[in-house]
Amino acid sequence: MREVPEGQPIPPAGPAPAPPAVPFSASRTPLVQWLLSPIALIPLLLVAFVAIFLLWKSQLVWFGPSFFGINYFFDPTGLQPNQFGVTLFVVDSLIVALPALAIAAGLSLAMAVSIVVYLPPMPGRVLTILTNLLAGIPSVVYGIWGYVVLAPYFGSTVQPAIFGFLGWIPGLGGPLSPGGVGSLLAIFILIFMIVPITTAVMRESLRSVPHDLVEAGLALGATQWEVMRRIRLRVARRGLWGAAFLGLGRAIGESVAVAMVIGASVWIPPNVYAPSTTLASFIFYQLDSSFYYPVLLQALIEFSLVLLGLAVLLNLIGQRASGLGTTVVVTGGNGP
Amino acid sequence: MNGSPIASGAPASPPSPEPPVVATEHLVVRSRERVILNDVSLAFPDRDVTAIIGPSGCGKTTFIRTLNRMTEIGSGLMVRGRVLYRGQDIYARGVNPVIVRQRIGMVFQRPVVFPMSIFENVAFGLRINRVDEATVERTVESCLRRAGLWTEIGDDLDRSGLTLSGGQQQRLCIARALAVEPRVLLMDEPTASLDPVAAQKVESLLFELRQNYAVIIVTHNLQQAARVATRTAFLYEGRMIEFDETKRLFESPREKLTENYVTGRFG
Repeated sequence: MREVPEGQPIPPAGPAPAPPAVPFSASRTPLVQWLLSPIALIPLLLVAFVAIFLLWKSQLVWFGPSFFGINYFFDPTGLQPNQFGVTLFVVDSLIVALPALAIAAGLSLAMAVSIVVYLPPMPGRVLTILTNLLAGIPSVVYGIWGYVVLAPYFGSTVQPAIFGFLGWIPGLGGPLSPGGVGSLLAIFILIFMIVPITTAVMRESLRSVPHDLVEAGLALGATQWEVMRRIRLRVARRGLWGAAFLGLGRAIGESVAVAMVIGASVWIPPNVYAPSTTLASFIFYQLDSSFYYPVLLQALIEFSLVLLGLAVLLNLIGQRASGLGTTVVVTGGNGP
Repeated sequence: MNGSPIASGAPASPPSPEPPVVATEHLVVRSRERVILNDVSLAFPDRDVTAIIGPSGCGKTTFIRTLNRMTEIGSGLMVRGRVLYRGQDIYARGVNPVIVRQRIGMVFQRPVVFPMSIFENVAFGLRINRVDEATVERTVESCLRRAGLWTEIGDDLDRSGLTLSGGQQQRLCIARALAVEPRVLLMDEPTASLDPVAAQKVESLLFELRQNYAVIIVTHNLQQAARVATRTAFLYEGRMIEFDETKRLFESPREKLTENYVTGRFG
């Protein structure tokens, strides 16, 4: 206490009076939040907008049993009935996308494992940057590289080599495709395009395995490899599958690069060397002729809807499994 | 502490008939920024419980992790001096840390149960050593018995280990550590995350374990050290201040620092 001279008003002691308490009911939600929240809806609106627009434009003229059939026949003269079966293209897409995914996933897993466990930080970072760089290369560049540089080489060397060693496997038997364009080349190009996304997601899944679990494994006298095999891969399993689905989504959706190297034959190819097509690339390279034939344009738009549905589905599965955008918590211990 | 007989450099240990199973000699552990352990020499007898006490940040966890080369996992710590397991320097060239960790097991502060069944948790160390199935089954049972879990969960081994209570999980971790047949069991605050009842069960387990293993336990709980440990070492700011029979260390410490700590004046 300090002394106060008599007759003078008592000066306030201590700190300044606290500002009036905020009543519990008062809204403290900042204006910014009100303004920004609707932005979260934009992606959803965009997808819905695209889908609705495509539906409206196509009016689902071809939607029906034959649309989901395997037969595709387009007669520009209009003398014979058209058949726009989409299944053929989905099958062709899978023929290219699944092998590409299998190889890319294997590569990615190997890279993710080495980055997370074996490589020192610096080379690991360099490898990460390089794989991310692959994602930055425009797909048309992959396409032209594939068409100009790789295709002749595939025709002269790669196809005969694979045929020579693995020709006994169904689908890898002849005949070869001398020019080099075909499913095999498309698969090869797609691997480059899938690897960045699958590697990134696999790497983060393996990294997100709690350090406690890894340490506990090592403390039991397990090697890093045993911990990887028995703990990390097990805990990260969902994320690894998620990576595969995201990669598959990307492989199925890729159009330009595939269109440039696959040879554009509308059929189920007899083997992996033969020219073929995919849903996405078909839409791309048929677009110019479709301007003369409104019927074809409508079919292509309906194809796009199927492609959109596939891509959204694969992406949703992939994101959900890999925990992208959500926090995946895997822990031991649930209280005493 | 200079001039006191126990800090003279030779492995400090009260007279013990057996040779120590684990000993450190002039152990120095440093990070880039600072020295974490400074010239720690300690010797741990077999078939006994030794406690390591000290205030937070004194280096006791680092110390215990040095004893089975867990320090070198992603920590960037530099270890100097020697850590001897039955007279052999485990940091010597050519020593495989994987083998070291099979001889010197570890239990952590928080129970770390693998996301698999109770059986597979205990069998983990055996599986990596490719032990045959009959032996695995026998060992899992005997380890769960030794960890005092068999009567509680012995009929339900296919359940996920994660469904156990915290105390049971910690004892599961102990059973898992025992399954690889270590000689030494390092325990880093094994009861710190448990409720008192669960902690008491783990503690009473220590009395069983010490008949077969050298147990080295880090604890900030002085009563626990007094209850379970035959000998206790007091670490302070990276130095070993005093190492003695637990009773003597608590009742008539030679060092002023120890006295201040055990009487609760700091820490």
